[in-house]
Amino acid sequence: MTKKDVAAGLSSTILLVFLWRIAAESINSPFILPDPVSVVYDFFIILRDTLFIKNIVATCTRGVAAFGISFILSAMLGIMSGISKTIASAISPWMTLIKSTPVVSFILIALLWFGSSIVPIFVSVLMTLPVMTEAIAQGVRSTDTKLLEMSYVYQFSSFKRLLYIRIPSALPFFLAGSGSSLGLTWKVVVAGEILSSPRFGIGSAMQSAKVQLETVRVFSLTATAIFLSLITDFLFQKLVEVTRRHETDKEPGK
Amino acid sequence: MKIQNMQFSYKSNQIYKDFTIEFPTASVTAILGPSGCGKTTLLNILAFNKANHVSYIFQEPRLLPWYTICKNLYLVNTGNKSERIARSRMYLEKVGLLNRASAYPSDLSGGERQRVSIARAFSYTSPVLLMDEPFQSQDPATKLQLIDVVKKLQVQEKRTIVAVTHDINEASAFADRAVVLGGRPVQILLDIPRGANFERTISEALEWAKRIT
Repeated sequence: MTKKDVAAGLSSTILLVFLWRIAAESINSPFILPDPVSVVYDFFIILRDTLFIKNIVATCTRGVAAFGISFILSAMLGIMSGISKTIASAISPWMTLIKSTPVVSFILIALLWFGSSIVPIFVSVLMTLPVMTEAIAQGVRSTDTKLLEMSYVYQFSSFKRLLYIRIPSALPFFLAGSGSSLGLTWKVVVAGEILSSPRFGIGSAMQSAKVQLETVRVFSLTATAIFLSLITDFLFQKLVEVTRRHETDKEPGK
Repeated sequence: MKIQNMQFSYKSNQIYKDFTIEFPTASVTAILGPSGCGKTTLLNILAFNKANHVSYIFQEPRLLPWYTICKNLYLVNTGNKSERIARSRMYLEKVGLLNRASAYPSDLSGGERQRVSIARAFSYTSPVLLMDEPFQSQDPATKLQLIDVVKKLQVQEKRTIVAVTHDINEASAFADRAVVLGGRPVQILLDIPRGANFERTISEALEWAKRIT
């Protein structure tokens, strides 16, 4: 990213806040659109609240659990369907079904099945699973056939081939898929919390703020969710950069 | 190593029919022939037959880009960890790249990468070593260096080498026998032991092969 890019991003952000401020002033009703300054102020107020810390911890725990489960399941399904076309065809209808079902339907169904604190995890796993599985399968399929041939000549076992060739080939795809799933995880976890209202959670706090017409609070909680997403996204980007460092040279012969 | 009565068809074309060839132990055979005559096919049949235990130096080095060059050798070696490391380092030394052991393939030049691939092939304990135009994409100076590396290793190791090439100079630089292939199905047109007029005989046989293929 050049200085120019940073400047462009920064100035557009300032413009957005500025437009928000103007809109808030002209509407002149904090119930409908609170002022950005009051949102920032409220953000610092909730930061000192122990309940808020509990909410964040609860949401993060759900996010990490959901992402972890999805990661493990999609790694297994993705690697298998990347290697075998039959398995890919077999799981494809499931994935299509999951992808085309509205998120809210899953939330409602899950509410009937599970306790409220499990719902956000369950729904988030379902939302991210097809994305990650497809990314990993694509990565495994993109393995350089020349390297695979080499491994056959030098009589690598199937396990050795998977560990040293297929998985490293798929890793960048794996991480890119994980990165986009991570953003989705936070969104779905918060949405799930809003609808299922577990005892603690950013979404639950948003729901109660909404009921009490604390629009400022809804905004500052939203900002918190955005920060969570930005932080994890940033960390993932770094991870992807590290793993791609030695991957610039796909065709070592050239 | 010997192939007897080999059959091979591709898309209803009979490429090899009752093809027999023998590669005496520790000999270096250059396989020549017009392009598309089935030279690489012959190598691949030798290489991908599970019963054969072979090393293969490909046209491109085919190193795993995510591992160091030492680990690239390590992965084809057998034994316990320290034996494998020692063997990998020994062969890197033989090709003059021990000081780059912890470098990644992308840090090396094209010639150096091919040297790693040669080291990998020799470090793998197989009696037979196949080569498919391994020097083709290198510049003339690098080509000579690589041929030198292979010759030196062969003096110490005495493997049975089968090398496909289309370059007569290359063949005469390190082979002690040249086999010229041609025709459909493929036949051995001429089996030339190293001797006087080695290069000229190969070149004449190649002209003949081109006419009938």
